[in-house]
Amino acid sequence: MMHLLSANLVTPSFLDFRKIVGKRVLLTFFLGCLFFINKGAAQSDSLTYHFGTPEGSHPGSYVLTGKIQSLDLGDVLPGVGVHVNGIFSGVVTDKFGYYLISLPPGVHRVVFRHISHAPRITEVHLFGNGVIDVDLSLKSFELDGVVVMSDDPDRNVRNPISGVAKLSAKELKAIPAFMGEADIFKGLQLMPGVSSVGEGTSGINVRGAKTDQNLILMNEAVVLSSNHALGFLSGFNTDVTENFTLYKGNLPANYGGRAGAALDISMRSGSTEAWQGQVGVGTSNAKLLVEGPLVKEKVSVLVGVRKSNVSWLLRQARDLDIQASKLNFYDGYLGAQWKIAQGHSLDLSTLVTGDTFQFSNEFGFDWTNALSSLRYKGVLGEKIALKALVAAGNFDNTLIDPEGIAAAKVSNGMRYQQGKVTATWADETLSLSVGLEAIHYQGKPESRLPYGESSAIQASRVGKEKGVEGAGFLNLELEVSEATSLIAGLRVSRYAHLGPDTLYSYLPDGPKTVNTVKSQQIYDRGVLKTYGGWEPRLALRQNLSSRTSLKLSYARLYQYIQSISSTVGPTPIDLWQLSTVNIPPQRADNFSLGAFTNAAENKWEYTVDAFYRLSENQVEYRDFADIFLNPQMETALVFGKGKAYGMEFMVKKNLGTLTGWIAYTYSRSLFQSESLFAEEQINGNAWTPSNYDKPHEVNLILSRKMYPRGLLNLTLNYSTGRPVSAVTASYYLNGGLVVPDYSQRNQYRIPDYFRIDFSYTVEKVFSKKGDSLNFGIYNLLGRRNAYSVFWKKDADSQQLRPYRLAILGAIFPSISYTVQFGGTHD
Amino acid sequence: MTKFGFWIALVLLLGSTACVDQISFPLEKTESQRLIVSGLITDLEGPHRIYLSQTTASNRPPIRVNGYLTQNDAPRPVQNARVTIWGNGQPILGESFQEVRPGEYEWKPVQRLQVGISYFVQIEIGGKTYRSTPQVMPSISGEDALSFSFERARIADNPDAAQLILKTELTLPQATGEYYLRWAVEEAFFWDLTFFPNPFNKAPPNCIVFAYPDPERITLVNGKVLNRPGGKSTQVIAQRLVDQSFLSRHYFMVNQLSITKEAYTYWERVREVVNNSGSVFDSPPAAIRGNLSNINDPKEVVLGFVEVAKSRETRIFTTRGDVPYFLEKVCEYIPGKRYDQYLPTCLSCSAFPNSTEEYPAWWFRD
Repeated sequence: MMHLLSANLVTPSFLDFRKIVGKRVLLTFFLGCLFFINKGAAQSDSLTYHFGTPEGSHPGSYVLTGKIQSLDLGDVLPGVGVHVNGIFSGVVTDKFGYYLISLPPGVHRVVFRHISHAPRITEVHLFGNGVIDVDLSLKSFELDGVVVMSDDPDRNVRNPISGVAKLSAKELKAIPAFMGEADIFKGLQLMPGVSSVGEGTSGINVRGAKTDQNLILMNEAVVLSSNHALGFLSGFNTDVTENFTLYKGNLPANYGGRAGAALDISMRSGSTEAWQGQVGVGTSNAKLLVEGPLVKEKVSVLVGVRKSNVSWLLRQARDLDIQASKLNFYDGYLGAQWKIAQGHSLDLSTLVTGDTFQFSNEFGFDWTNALSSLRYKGVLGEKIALKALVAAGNFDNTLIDPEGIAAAKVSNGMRYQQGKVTATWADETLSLSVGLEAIHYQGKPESRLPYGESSAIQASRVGKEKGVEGAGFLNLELEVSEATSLIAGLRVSRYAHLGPDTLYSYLPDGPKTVNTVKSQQIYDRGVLKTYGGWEPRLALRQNLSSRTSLKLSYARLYQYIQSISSTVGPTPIDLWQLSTVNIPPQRADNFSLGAFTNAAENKWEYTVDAFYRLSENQVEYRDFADIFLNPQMETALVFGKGKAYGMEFMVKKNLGTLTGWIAYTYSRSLFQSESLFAEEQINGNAWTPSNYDKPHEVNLILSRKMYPRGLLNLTLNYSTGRPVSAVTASYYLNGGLVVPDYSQRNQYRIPDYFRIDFSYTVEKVFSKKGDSLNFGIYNLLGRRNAYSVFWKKDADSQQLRPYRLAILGAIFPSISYTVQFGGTHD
Repeated sequence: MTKFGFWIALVLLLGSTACVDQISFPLEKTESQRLIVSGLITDLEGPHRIYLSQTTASNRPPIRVNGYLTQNDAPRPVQNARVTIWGNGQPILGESFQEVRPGEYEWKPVQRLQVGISYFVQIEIGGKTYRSTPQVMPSISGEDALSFSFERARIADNPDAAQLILKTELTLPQATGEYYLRWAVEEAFFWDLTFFPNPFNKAPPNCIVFAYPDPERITLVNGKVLNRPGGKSTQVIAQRLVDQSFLSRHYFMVNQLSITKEAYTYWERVREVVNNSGSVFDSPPAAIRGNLSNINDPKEVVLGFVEVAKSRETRIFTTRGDVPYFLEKVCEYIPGKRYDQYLPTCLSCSAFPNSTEEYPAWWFRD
């Protein structure tokens, strides 16, 4: 949605143009477009092209065609506008990067323009059919004037699917961040409809959905765990990410497996021109990025690593225990791309993330998440493209509880393999995609082992489930008319719970508890249970005018894997649980209806988007749920219906020195248990607010260019406090113990949340090659926003009093410095 | 380390300034008062005690205290209840609890209760009858060898507080499998009242104070997950701030209770709720259902628990010579200091909630 553009055309690419004008170099050929015979050998480095000779007779028009790619991104560029003789021709490149325009014979000034890339100006002597392939370069941040604009001027109006939010890594870096480190999840939380349980929790809640109802993809490979410790930072380093697309409930048919939303993260490719990189040091971490060609213009590699550096802070503490403690988070990304041939590429991506925390020689946890994928993308013909993916992931976590005789180390994890193939056929009005996808999940046994010499714990193990999820999908995008566009899709998913496993059956007239087991059966192998269903998807866009559209979307989604956490919000050490005989899959129906309009030539965007979701078999937890080493997880869960609804309003300014947006979201998220038995009910089966139900949220972000090389940003976030259970009475037990008596679940709310952040970024401070210095203040007002409210005994009165826990209850200034090295540009 | 301590340590380590401060939080009280029953029945000679009280409610009337009508949210004792003990489904004839103080019911059995027998308590109040779930008195227990040490550590806002750490070297039962242990720690200390000069040079009366040094510490052992029959392990079972109470003998009475699985689960939940600090790693708290119910209205919520346990009691005491810190005599007579300038606890033993002028029988035996 936001890109930083240059109003000053003095960019590196323009400098190249001035150097190379007059040179003649053979143009790279256009593959697969047969009827453009070799009439013109256009010169790529020259900005003047000659096709044919002016002498003789000529037809009324000739065809000029070609392919536009991004020099920096190494990928095709859709949406590049073709301007002829100062006028926008109405032609833009398609999703494969190709354009085609008919022009009368003569000399034409043809300019290729794209929002985030520097324009390429050409002079075309068109006296025959011609082919011009162009590489555009990304615009530099060093700008005389800044405009912030959607990647397509009116994408929000034209895109048939509502509830789509897109951010680039560049836009993300402009947003003030905690400890100066830009973060995808923190950036997304400034979008309407996206929130979190609170500071210190992992993940995001999208339109009232749980965090595990988000499908998170890295280059289309599934990612299970995505946040570092306590949710302050995600596992995705923005230096190696290209952009993020969030589908808030209305997913195209090629996405599935989660009942809420999908976040598709595209990773960058390395430079194919020259070795370069950057190194940065900040208040919370240090990072290094290196990229370059292994084979020039053919094979590139990109390596980005990031590691926390708070250890110096620990060593300053006077407390010996803190000095002896460890706190580390790290993530590393390796990406390699091989351009096999024109239009064919192979991408290898590997992401490794993890945290380690240990307090002295006592309590601690650690987790690691590793994911590797190999993806092929190819253009097989003029209208056909193919993508294929194989990926493998591994997630492990360990919790150490060193206290007393039962000191133990508890470990669990999940391993999975994924395969996906998608074929697309597309012309100007119609696009058809078909594909298959499968994921094989293998839960690792959960184990508890003695920790320390004094521990008398008996080593124990609980086996975890295995399952296969498969889907076939078909997606049709049709421009019904100029005003109407339709996306219709169908996804058919199946899931099989595989052995070995032990299945428990329970007495029919009672709740599922450990005391009501009727029988248990052990299976060594085979398919123990299958689930599945049809998942229709529909998105319809009706233009009311050239600048206004109405959109209607519907999607049915199945989810066969859920994150199990007995805490208020998700943590890095949550378990992943597959569907079984006793844990059915979740199913959600998502509806949305929105109106979108732009004004003043896309300077302003106005959005109103309403949503409604109904879920079946949604998972909640019984009071005091015992989830660790529990072979009968269903006895810790409550199943029921979920309901989420709301409306998002946004006003966005795209152009000018001052840009930004203000968004208000009204959103409710409720749950209703359905059992007849008290043990399996929440609040007696009444509709109950979920832990992440926040009815009102306001986000404001303002960005202002500070000449010549600065950018000032301000964000403001307000939201209703989340629901909480409260102490309505207290009593004494023998032993002088004051025990709180709690209300029904989530009948109260913690105080509202309000925060203002500020940041200022300056480029080319010390190094002309490229560096940036960022000053930030997180929580400018130092407001003690409550994460939770809890009760503890007052020393004087011996009565329980309410206390607020604020996780970040102070002002957090930060400073970070990044410097680039290598590359071909000065 | 408690979860609360861990949480504070974690946010400190992250360099953030997590803040905990008291706030006002408007609440709605329940519509009606709820019965609270708290009791412990063991195989010791007793007396065994059952405490009955009621929670606050929106319709609770004020009470008269010292001539003034008072309204607060503290539990109020329930009086005039009939409390009986049943064994193997039959009432123990002729035996019932007697109300010795408002809400406190005491029973000294003629014969000690026995392991292997199922017991429950029946309470009759205002036409309603409540019963605890029957529990078989366990037979397995371990052995404690008590010890103490003095350390300085951070407690609340005091970075260098002197405290006593009470430990037990537990010898686990020889059996493996299902057994559950809990420790209840009580303290008794001699308190020096102010010796005001008087013509007869009569010293103030003895003041023996009973209290609970660390009630929020709920130490539990689940034998089902252990695998070291007869093994030894050291556990901290109480921590106590060092103050003037350590000037004279200061006893710690440790009761190792072998409890049922139901009681263990209850205390696990109590521990979770009592130590809830609202952190990321805490489970959402909830009301804890006890083991009592109204036999005519099972849906009525009754709070608390009546435990049936096998008990082993051990004691240890400190003297002034054991304490390596300076102890201020806060009740020492100072000429010229006005009477009303002394703490109430320096003037009268009854200022303590639970005190007596009589030494317990074991005071000088140990």
